[in-house]
Amino acid sequence: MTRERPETDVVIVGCGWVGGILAAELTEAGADVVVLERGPWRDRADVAGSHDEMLPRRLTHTQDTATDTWTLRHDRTEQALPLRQAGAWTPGTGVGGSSMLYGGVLQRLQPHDFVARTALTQRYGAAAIPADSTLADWGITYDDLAPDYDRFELMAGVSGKAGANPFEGPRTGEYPMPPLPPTPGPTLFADAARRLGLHPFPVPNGTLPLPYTNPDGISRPACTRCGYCIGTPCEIGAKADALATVLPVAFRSGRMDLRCDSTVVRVTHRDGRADGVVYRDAAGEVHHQRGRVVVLAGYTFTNVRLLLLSRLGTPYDPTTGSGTVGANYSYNLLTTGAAFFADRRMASHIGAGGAAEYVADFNADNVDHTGLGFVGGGMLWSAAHVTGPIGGAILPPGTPRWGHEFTRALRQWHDRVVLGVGHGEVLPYRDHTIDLDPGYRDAFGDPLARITFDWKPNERALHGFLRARLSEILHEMGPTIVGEPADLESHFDTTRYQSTHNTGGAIMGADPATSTVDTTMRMWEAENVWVVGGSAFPQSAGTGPTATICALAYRASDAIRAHLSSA
Amino acid sequence: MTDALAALADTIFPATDGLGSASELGAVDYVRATLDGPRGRGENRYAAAPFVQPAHAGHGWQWPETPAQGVDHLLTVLGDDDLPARIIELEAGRLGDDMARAAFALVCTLVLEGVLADPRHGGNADGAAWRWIGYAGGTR
Repeated sequence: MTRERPETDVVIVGCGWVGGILAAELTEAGADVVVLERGPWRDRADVAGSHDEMLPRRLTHTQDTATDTWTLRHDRTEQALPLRQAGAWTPGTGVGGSSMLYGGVLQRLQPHDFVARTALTQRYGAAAIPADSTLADWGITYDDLAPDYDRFELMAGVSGKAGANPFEGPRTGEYPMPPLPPTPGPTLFADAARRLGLHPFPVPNGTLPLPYTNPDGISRPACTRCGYCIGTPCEIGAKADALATVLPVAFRSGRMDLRCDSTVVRVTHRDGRADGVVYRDAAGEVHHQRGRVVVLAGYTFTNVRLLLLSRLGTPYDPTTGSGTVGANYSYNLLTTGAAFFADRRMASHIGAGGAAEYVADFNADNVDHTGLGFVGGGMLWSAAHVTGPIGGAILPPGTPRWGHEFTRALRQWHDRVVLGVGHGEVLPYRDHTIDLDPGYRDAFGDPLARITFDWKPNERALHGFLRARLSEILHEMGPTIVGEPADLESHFDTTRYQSTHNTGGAIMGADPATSTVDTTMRMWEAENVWVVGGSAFPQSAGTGPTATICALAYRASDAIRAHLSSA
Repeated sequence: MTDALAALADTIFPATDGLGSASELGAVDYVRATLDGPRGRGENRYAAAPFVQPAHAGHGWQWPETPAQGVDHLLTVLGDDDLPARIIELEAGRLGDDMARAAFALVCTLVLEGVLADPRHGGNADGAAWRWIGYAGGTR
């Protein structure tokens, strides 16, 4: 028995950064919105004062994989197997979504990233791009999105220093907030990078170094540097998340109806128009929520799976190249090394987790790739990355994991290690896809999202390059021991945390034959459906995706507002 | 009857230079409570069949056994004679199977948590392990 709910202006599926930004923007414009979030309500008081390293380790705020997970196969001939618990990525669930859990890094993509195929073809020739790569231009340029980055940065109070990164795109002014205070480990990393002729800079971050009141009148306090903000909500809202910033704006409008514990299972549509969504509430009751506009604002896999389950859009067929939904899945690659200092403590329990020194010299196409054997780039960084004594138990290579040698090493190296990270882009490929699993199902009986993905030669070469550059910096730091960054595993490992930067599957573009959504993120095949989020990225970038996802949400909000006033 | 789990935990984390062993720190109580609780029962895991053994690594725990059952299996494989030698054989792949090795990795992680997590979780008695390693962020 489905309960019919009266029509609203906009139904938003998911209450993370994207859902929150759209709810704030659209209610301010006078629209009524219903936001459906499958996770629970979140209250900062739940974590206030806890200062507990076990919270993120227990994945208390991560998607519940017991009821809905993903399957993965390394190539199209294999049977996909479920990720029986979250490992390589840990998307948030509940109000605020992943915005409650990320480190706060909010960096713009480079202008190159939006036109990568065109730019690489011009510089190196079409043959430089792997033949099976579906690398695509975004259909918009950096300049098109710059005003939306501006709006987001002002709203969130992003900290940074204009021009500190010589490779960043043009910006109209200084960052709203100055950089976060430096911490010892990243400072050693930056000093070494500078001696090598590189250009380290404090990465733009949504964690506040000073109290800030944004243009909406929302005030947040400065970070206390308590160190509990990676994988767990900031206890005081100093880290920019949806609950601290945009959701209060939507609430005070009186026009947002937020329903938690409400899992959307289908978009209902006919003849290229959606009329709403079907969702289940916590009691299992089924509702049909009608809306003039439907916005999918979930995590990459959630958005794409909901399109496929709803038979909305044309599924991608990698054998023929027809259709688009599920195409251009991509991810980020990661390489991690360590510098161990016998006689130096790093005060690694203090700081904002995402406060980091980045090096962009090897990002995007910032170095000449002629003769390198790969395209694409990545960031190198060292972050305060405050994890507590368990996560901080990083020991020199070759140390056993048990016995006296292990216990003595724990004591010897505690707080005397600096991590260095390389984070690279991953090209999209014809056979790297998101579709529906033929066997494994979620708690409601619907097929899980199935991912087909593995490391390919271009990514292995990029990884090796970033690894070597990272190793040079780690050695230049002058440590007692360098823990060399490891090589990529023989097959993509779903159990080792790498990043939650999954992208693609409902990509944006200027051509309906190769993209699911237009450059405002409206579906080509449904005039009143917007699909907004990491799912819209034609490929990943060396830069993390969050700031761009949020800028895209502002861009979509303008188009939805125009649609509502014209319809 | 010997306590096989405590013996294993104390082999992983023996008393060292003035700090007690895993059992003396209460870490074994933490490990046991965790294995008896939702994590050990696998309640946060996707548990739908079929359980298929992958052709190569990268898929994590794909056995139908819960983590707690995997640890029981590990303890059977290790027995109670000369644990250090048996662990070396296990890690070298000359003893046991992949599930036993995965369970050993899990026990190592749980022992580390029991020793170094906030004492509110039942291990790290009186924050002794924090003082011993010189952790400056603890509240005890």
